[in-house]
Amino acid sequence: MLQGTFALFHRALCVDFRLTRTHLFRFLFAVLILFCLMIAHSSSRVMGAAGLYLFSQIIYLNFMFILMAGISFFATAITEEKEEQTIGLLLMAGVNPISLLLGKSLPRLVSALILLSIQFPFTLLAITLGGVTFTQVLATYATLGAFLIGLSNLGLVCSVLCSRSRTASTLVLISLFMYFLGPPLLGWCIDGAVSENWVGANSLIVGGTKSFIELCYESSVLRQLSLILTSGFSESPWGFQFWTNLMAGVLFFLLASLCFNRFALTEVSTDPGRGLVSKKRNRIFSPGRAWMQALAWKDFYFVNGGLGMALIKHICYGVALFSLCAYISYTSRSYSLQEMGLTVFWTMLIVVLIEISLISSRIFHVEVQWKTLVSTAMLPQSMAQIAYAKVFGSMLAVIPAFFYLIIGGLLGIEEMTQDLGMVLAEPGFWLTCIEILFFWHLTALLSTFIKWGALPLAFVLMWVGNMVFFFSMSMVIMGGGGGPDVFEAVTILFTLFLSASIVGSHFMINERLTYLASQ
Amino acid sequence: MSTQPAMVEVKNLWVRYGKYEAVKGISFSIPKGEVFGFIGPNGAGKSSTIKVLATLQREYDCDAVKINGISVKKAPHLIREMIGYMPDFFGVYEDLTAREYLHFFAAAYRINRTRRKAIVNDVLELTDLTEKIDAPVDSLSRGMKQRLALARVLLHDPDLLLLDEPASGLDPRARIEVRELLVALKEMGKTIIISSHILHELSQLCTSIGIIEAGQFVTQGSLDHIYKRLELSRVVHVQIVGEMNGICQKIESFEGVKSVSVQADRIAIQLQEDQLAVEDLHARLAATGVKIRMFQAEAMDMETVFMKLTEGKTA
Repeated sequence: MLQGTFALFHRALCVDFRLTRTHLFRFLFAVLILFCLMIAHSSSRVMGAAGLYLFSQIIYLNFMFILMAGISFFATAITEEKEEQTIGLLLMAGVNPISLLLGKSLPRLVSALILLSIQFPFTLLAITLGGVTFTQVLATYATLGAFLIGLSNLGLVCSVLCSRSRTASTLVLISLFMYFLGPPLLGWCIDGAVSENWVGANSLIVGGTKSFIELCYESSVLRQLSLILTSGFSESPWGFQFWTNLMAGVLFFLLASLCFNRFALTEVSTDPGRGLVSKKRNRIFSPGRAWMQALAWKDFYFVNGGLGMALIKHICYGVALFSLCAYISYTSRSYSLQEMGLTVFWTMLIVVLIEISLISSRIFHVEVQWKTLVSTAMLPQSMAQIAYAKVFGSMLAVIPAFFYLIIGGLLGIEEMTQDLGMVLAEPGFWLTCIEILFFWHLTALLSTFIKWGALPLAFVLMWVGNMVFFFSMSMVIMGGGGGPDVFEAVTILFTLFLSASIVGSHFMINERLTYLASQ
Repeated sequence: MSTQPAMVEVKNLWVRYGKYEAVKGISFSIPKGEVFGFIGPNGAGKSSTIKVLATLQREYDCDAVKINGISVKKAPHLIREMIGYMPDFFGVYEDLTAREYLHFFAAAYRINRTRRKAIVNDVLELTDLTEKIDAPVDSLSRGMKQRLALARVLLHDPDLLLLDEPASGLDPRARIEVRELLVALKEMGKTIIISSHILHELSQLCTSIGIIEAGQFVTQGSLDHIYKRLELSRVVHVQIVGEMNGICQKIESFEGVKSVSVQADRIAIQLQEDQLAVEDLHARLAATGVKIRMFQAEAMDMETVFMKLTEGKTA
């Protein structure tokens, strides 16, 4: 039975060994640990418990990587076979579903666990810097290891249930949101209901919900990490979180095995369906005749859902914003129109950021995935014109979100005008704006190189880049290299550097698309 | 060869991928209205050459690559208006209907909105897809998708069609349909460059061919020219009754016989036809007094040409 698993395991290891990017990724990880070590060494002169500081940096870095791996690396274990339509072939070759699941998920889990375990000796160095004990180090790695096993199997379930990598990644993301934000949100709702006397404080439903929330907190990796990283931690490394996360991993694997025949064997097309785009020409959601900006028309209707999806977004955003404002208005003593406008503005700003991030990860990737770049490149337009037309078409899909953003802005215009006056003078504001723009460009560029996970990879790269930049700056300032003026000057320089990088990324995307069209 | 001005002119074209040389200094010229068959084994450099002409290959060296007298390197946008390129894979937006697909490309080629409908209907009729106008591309058979892709490249009425393996992976009926479509396009006066492995189909379609192997032309020219050239060393298989003592030496002494090799049940005579015709060889053999059981000149078709000229090498 395990022959198939070993065959897949062997293949995965060989592929992993051959790919340069996996070695580069590990190298980057090692460089980051070294960087954290340097920071800790430098800060040990001016602060106590430098070891704990170093250890916390490394652990939260690991935590971020595990989250990103869960969304991209683990969530695509089975979907990539579905997209390449090779599941049937593997089953024909005598690989049974359990072997296949093990063969696809174990190599990924082992790679991640190896990455985690090889740091162990280096993090022991933190003990010598002070502030952290061996028990804490051991407990932290046990916590992360158990969370990793739970998350990898959650990814496996999502990968079995979903037909496409993108959907599986989204499902893992939603599950993680529920895992981390579900208990506090549920607690908030229950407290609200109790304070409004909708339910009695001692009722069974409140007691049961609170016990459930407490269990969720107890099994939370974040709570366990913060507990371990407090001074004087002396509990067992194998706590409640460790066992519940492991159990969750086993249950998720069993669930994946049970669902395999029902979901994974269904023939799927990697091409998107029409969704709400009607085929009948007289319907409101029909794409009608192509616009003169044909690529924009195609991307608006067939990549981003067209008018139908725009209408759904419009209604959903409206309902969600109305509910949010109604809830805040009901629970607050005073809630002015201006405050309502600011709520709408900031909520929709987040929505716009998410929508554009998702668009940037798909806009060029779909052309590569559908092998349509050649026919597109043969149009009598430059690749740059083609790319900008696609961007234009995709941006039309963000109009509903922008609509509410503008409404929110107009309602809260008075306060926003005052704030804007202060914010515009801050180099940090411009740096944030440019960073967001750079993030979208980086995502779009990465999506032309990798099959999946461009968005989380761009996020990790941005996070790491920012961490390196701000720590370096802090060290310069702490080392007496300059005051806030120097910090501002460097921030401006960094903003200019990122702006230049955005311009450079336009050329790089153009070059990359031209190259891909010639393949 | 036709005396019309060249539609395609390629001089000393080199295509390199790192250290790998896919195309090694090939040159050819195709007059207007010709159907040029590009033949060669996998990895011979056919697709690379076609990609250069299609403006998709950016890294290459040449003395000249021109279409209608315009340099491909200098004016790729102008060239794209003149050509229609169909790659060897579908690459179609499968969630669109055939109508949407063609209207999308018609709009992308900036065909006037008022003319689009008529043009789309025309190309659908030409490719016999009118009945499938509202069918999703995804639901079309492989042959139909291929015809749809051909309809797409005809939308802007290009002078030159570059077709990379248009019949690959199609069933016999679909192949015949594509071939008939290409014959129709040939009659419309289009210049066509077509690469294919289905050699006998090319022989019915092409006015000239180029056989490429390991990045170099083995031969090129009109089919008559190539046949004639190969017939110069035609092989004749002969079975002789009785002992063959000394007969091989006698045949070798005939003027025009290049070589004689004894095989299991026959002798194979390689003949230079310009010096000794097949029928004269028969007469001279008979004159020696040998009893001939079988006398068979090797048939010269496109596949024989291909097998004779290529050795299965890649660049």
